[in-house]
This record gives sequence, C-alpha cells and structure tokens, in this order.
Amino acid sequence: MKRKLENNHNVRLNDSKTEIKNIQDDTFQIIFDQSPVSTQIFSPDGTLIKANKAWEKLWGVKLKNIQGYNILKDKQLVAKKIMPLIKKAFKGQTVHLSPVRYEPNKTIKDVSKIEYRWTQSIIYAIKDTNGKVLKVILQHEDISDKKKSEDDLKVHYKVLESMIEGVSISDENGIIVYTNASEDAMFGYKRGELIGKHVSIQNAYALEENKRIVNDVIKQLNKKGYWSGEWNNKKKDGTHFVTTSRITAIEIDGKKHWVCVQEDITSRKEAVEALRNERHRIYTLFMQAPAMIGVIKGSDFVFELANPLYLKSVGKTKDIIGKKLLEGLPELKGQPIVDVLKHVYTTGESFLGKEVQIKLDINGDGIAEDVYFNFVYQATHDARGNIDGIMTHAIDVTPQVEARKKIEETEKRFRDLADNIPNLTWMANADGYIFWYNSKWYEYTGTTPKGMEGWGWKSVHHPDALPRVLKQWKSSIEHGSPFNMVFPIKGADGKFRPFLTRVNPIKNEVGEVVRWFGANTDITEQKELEEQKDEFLAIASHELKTPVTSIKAYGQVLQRLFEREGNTKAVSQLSKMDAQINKLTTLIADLLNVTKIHSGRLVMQDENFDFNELANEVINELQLTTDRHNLIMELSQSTTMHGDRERTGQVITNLISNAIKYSPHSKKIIVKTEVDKDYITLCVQDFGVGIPKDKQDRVFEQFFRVSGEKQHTFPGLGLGLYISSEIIKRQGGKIWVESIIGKGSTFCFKLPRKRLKHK
Amino acid sequence: MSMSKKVLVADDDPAILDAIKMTLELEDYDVDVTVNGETIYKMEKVYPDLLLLDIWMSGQDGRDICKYVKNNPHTKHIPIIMISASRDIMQSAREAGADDFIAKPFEIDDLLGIVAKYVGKAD
Repeated sequence: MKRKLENNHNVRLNDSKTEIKNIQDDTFQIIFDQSPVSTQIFSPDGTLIKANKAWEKLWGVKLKNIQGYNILKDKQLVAKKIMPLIKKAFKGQTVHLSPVRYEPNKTIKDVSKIEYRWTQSIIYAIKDTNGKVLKVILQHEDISDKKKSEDDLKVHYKVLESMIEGVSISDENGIIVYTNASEDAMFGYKRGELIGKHVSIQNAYALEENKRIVNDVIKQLNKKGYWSGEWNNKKKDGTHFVTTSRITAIEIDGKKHWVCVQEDITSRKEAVEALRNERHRIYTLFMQAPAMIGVIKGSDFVFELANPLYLKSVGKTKDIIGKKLLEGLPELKGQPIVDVLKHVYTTGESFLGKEVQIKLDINGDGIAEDVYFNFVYQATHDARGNIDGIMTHAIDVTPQVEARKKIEETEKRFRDLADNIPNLTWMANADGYIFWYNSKWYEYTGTTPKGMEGWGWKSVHHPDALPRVLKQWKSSIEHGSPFNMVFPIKGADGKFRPFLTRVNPIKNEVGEVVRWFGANTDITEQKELEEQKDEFLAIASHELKTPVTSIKAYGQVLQRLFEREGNTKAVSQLSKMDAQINKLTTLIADLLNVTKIHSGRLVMQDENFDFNELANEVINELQLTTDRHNLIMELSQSTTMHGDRERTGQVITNLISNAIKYSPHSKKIIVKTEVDKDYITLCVQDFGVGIPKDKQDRVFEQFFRVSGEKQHTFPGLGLGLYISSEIIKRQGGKIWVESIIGKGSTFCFKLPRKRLKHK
Repeated sequence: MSMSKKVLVADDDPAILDAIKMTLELEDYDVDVTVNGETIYKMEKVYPDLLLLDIWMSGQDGRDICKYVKNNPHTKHIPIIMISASRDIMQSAREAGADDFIAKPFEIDDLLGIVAKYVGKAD
C-alpha cells in the first residue's frame, strides 16, 4: 500500500513538473476531487485551503465546517509527537508518517460519528523553481480496517498460545505449519521444532493403521465438518500417550489446512483404569472372599447379593437372588434367626453370632441339617440414612464345632472312665502343675479342686516322705522321664496309706513332654499280702532249718564215727550228703534273705577282716565242689577292710558258684582282686555260655533267670544275684557284669574299704 | 578219767537236742538237754560248765533266759552260747549277755570248736 501511494505521488510529481501547465484548471480540479486518496492542500502558513471528497469521507466532516483550520496549530498532532515531521514538510521536505491513530478532533465542529481512524500519511511541499514552498499537500490512507484485523489476529494468537490444549495446523500434505506452546510441550519438542515436519511424526500408529485412520478422519470431516476421538500419540522420546482430539478443516490462503486440537488424557485414562481395577478387585474380593457375604434388602428381606461361598454354604444356587429370604431358604421358617434379622432391621443394631446353630437343607434333599456359623448381621442404609437391608458376613464353622464336640465327647468319656477306676489319677502340665484330678482323688483325700490345683497335693503327703517325693518328681520333670515311687498319701480319715505312684510323660510328635499322666494305686492290701508272704517265708525257712540242722549234725556225727572205723566208702557218701544239705541250706537261706531284703531287715554285721583271706577261703571251699574247673586266683596284696565278712563271702560264693554252673564245658575260672586306697574290686571270669546283651542289666533282678538256647536249662531260684547285689549295695558298693554270648561272663563288685556308718 | 565238762543244751526241738547231744558226746562231754526254759530258771546248786541256748524256745525268748542267768550271781559265771537259725540275732544275743553265737545249721566241727573254746576239751 505504501509503495502504491508513493507511485501515485511520483506520477503526480511528474504531472506537476512537466505537464501541469498543459492541464486545464478544471481538469485538475476534477482529478483532485475524485481522487480516492484523501488529500488536503495547505498554504505555507498551515491554513487549510482545500480538501477533496475522499478527505471528507475519511473524516466524516465537511470542509465548510472547518474553515480556518491551521494544521500547525493542531494540538492533537503535538500530542501525537508528529508536529515536528509536519513542520519539516512545511520547510520543503517530503515526509512519510507511520500509521497514526487519530481521535475525533474536538476542536472540529460537526464531528461525525466515527470514533477513531488509523491512517498512514505522506506530506510534501510544492515548490517554485527557486525552491520556495508554494503549497503543502497532505494525503491520508485509511488503514483502520487493516489495523483492526491485525489486532484481532494478535488476540487469536495469544489465545492459541495460552491454551492448555495442544493445537497444530498442518497443510494438505500433512506438513505442520503451526503448533502452540502446549502442543510442543505435550510432545516434548522445543518451541517451533515441529514446524515443517510431517504430522506422522506425532502418531503412534503403524504405517498401515495410520493410513486407515487418516482415511477415516477425512471421511468424517467431509461428512460432519470435524472429527473427534481418541488419538494415540508419540512423543519425541518415543513414549506413547493418548489424547482426545478434534480435527477441523480451515482454508488459509485458499488452501485447505487441518487444525488439530488435542488434550492429553493419559492421567485421566489412568484414573479411569485404576477405578475399573479397583471395582474389579472389590468384585473379585467379594466373589472369592473366604467368608460368606450376602445382602438382603427391604423389610421382606429380598436377596440382593450373595457370593459363591454364601450360596455354597447354604446349599443354594444364585436363583435365590431376587427371592425373599423365606422363599429362598424356606427351612428358616420358625427358626430364631429370623427374629434376629427382624430385630437388626428394626433397630439397626448389629448382631454378632458365635457358633450359632442353624438348620439348613444344604444337600437339597429336603432334610435340614445342623450347621454352625460365626457371623455379623449389619444393617445397610440408603442415601437418606434409613435402614434398607442387612448385610451378612459369615463363616461356616460346622467342622470346627463338630470336631470340638467330638473332643468334648471323648474327653467326657475319658473323665467318666477316669472317675470310675479305683486309682487316683491326675494330669499335669509339662512343668508339673497339676490341673486335673479324677473324682476318686477328691473322694479319698477329702480335698477340693481349689486346694489341690498346681502343687496343692503336698498337703496330703507325709512330711517325712515329701522331700524324697519332691526330689524325684522334680528330677522326672527336668528329664522328662517316668516317675515310679511308693509313698503314703493321707486319706480323708487322716490315715496314711501306701500308694504306688506311676507318672508317665505324654509327648508330642517332636518328643517334647506336653503333659503328665499320673496314677496313684492304693497298695495297702498288696503290702499286707507281701508282708504275710514274707512272714510266711521267714517262718517257713526257719522251720526248714530246724530239721536240716539235725540232719546235718546226724550226718556229720555218723561220718565221724565211720572215719573212726575206717569205712572210707561210708565217709565219702556221707560227705556227699553233707554237700547236698549245704545246697539245701543255701536255698533256704536265700528265701529268708529275700524276705529280709523286702522288709528291710537285712542287717549287716560289720567287722574288720582281711579280704584276700576271705576270698581264699571261699575259693578253696568251692574248689572242692568241682573237679572239672580250675579256680585260678589272681589276688592282689593282702588287704583289710571293714564290712560284713560273711555276707561278702556269700557274694563271692554266689559269683563263683554261678561261674561253675554256667561254664560246664570250660576248664578255668579266674578270680581276680584289685585294691586301691579306697576300694576293693573282685571279678570272677568264666568262659561259659554268657548272657545276651539285653539281659545283662536284668540278671540282678529278683527271680530273673536268663532265658535262651541253653541258659534256661540251668537250675536255680533266680535269687542269688539279686541277694548279692543287695548285699553289695547295702555296703555302699557296686556290682556289674560284662559278658559275650558264647564266650563267657565276668561278674565284678567293688566295695569301699571303709564304709560310712549305715544310717 | 576226770570229771567230764558238763554242757546244758536248751532247745525246743528234740531232734536238735538229740543231734547236739550226739555231737558233743563224740568229744565225751557230759550233756544234759532240756526242751523247757523253766529248767534253767530252776537250776540250783549244781550248775553246768556251759549253756547252749536256743533263742526261740516255744513261748520263751532265749535272750530273757540269758539275761536271767547272767544277772544271777550264782550263775553269771556260766558261759552261754546262743544258737539260732537267724544270724541276724547275733547282735541282740550279745547285748543280752551271751558269750558267743552259732547259727543253724552248723558244721559239727564249728560247734565242737566253739564249745572247746569256752570249757576246754571235755577231759
């Protein structure tokens, strides 16, 4: 426009310089008046001389209304700071003025309705040949409309740039011509970096899919004028994201362009996805909950919801959903649980049921069975807070309850049994705390459970026996070993009776003691019988000894008489008879000894004696009884000891007699003694049948006789070693055996040389 | 032949008495026997040189008889050997004042030995 204006001006200058004289005044006047360019002519003093029609139109005023207007006195031009430029023109220069906004000039009367004008102007002087300014011409071009659209564009641009949505414009070939800041940021590009690139750089679609989608978009655009939907995008760094996009077509410079506005909905998508997952999770939780969950709605309890476990536990299918409670579960009719539900529904109070028995037809065979539930009934509320249903959260505890009932039944059976046996029985924890006694205990002792619990039993024990009982019981607890003891227990009548008490540990699968089971058996009668037996044996053996004594004496007297006569045959026979009488004497003595051991009347007659001398004596005596065996003595130096000489001799006799008896096919028996400062040890070694390993400890038990291939064929009462071991023990010693079957046995005892006084 | 040593044997079993008498007579002792303890309580003027006393005397305790003899100034010099089937009584026999003890059944050599110990050979 500016250039145009200048061209015009040049033409006019040419006109004025070369052809002006030839043009008639009125022609010039016509040209001036009809020129579309607003033109004013000023005299050199600034007074407006003429203005054409275009000027009048531009400013909306009539020339006649502003007679006398002097441009050099226009205050608005001073305010706009263009007066100096105007003055330059009046001095002869040609001046181009930048676009200026002119407000309606208040100094001009009859100002039209226009508000303001943007103009672009040129002001120049017409001079004579001497350069004297004759006239000054001012021409305006109205650029108000252009200016306005430029402003609008600025606003639009600003709006675009400040939008949160990304905006891109691409041409028909898909080349991006514009992106706003959000678009660049959204895709991770630098400002303006996308311009000139093809739109496909922003797509996450594969090539073929991209084509299909673009076709779809174009089809939609043609049909509806826009396309909108979700779009998969690709950032500069390659990551994908989803937008909702709207594509419209516009024309720029007559060419079709695409405007695409898009919003990143990744986070919104994620939120939606998370919500969906949460819903799914809750649903899964509900469906797979290890508890029964059900909801009934309304006052007539219509099943709204029931998870699979609920349905399974009540033996129904999901057909019950939508049915009323008593239609879905008709067997509930008349059961108290229905009243409970009604109560919860009317009061809103939750109900907690523990092992509640409900009859349900769980097998669908028309027979209601007992089922047990732990459950919570909880009222549900509508949006206004009114009760609108009940939620059930329940666990079927039938197996547990039945198992417990079975245990209770078993326990009852056990207690019935325990209360009906004649023994006093009880149970203790692993630490010995007694928590249960049978009724016989209370009956016999006349006590109460309160007084007996734990360690209360001590009150029915004899104070003399209690320390021994406690010591052994504590040792058993510590080692987890069985307890076996006889001690007195006080009866309700205040009398003590002897009880045999056996306590056995009950162990778990890893061998830890979990409890103790004890039984006290009244052995008063047994003791009495035993005493009677011992008394009988004592009398019997005493009575047997009397004839044996006279027989022995008669035999020996007779033997003496035959000796005097020199009848050796008779002497020999009487000697053999005497040996047999001695055997009989020993047997009788053993019976008596056992009764004495039992009754605690085995008295030791202690004296000082030479141990080796005793051993020698016994060996020599026994050597006479056997022709087959050679008794080899390996005695240590002569030594004295304090003890019961005769009883000790009895033990040596017993050991050597056994060695002879149990080695019928071997020739030697070794008797060895060892002495140290405090002890004497004697061992008798034979090379006979031997004793099986598992029987070796038992040979010292009363009446025990080794059984086996040959062993049982040997005679004996099974008392000798028992008595020997008792004699050794009573003297504070120790007796033992080492044996290999078929190779022989070695029996040893060890005695203290100086015994502590027997208490 | 000098005076034989006189031994009194008290036991409630006649067979024992007979056997002891036979035994002691092998060595020529002068043996008197009694099945009754009362005989001893009634002893007067003539006393034996040795008393062989069974502990159980059918209703009488040999230890009581022993005590009686040993507490009587006229008889306390008489040695007493107690006889019993139970050697456990040895201690209480000694406490009752008995000089020695022999258990039934015995070897006759032992009996003769112990008798000789207190009264010497019969002659």
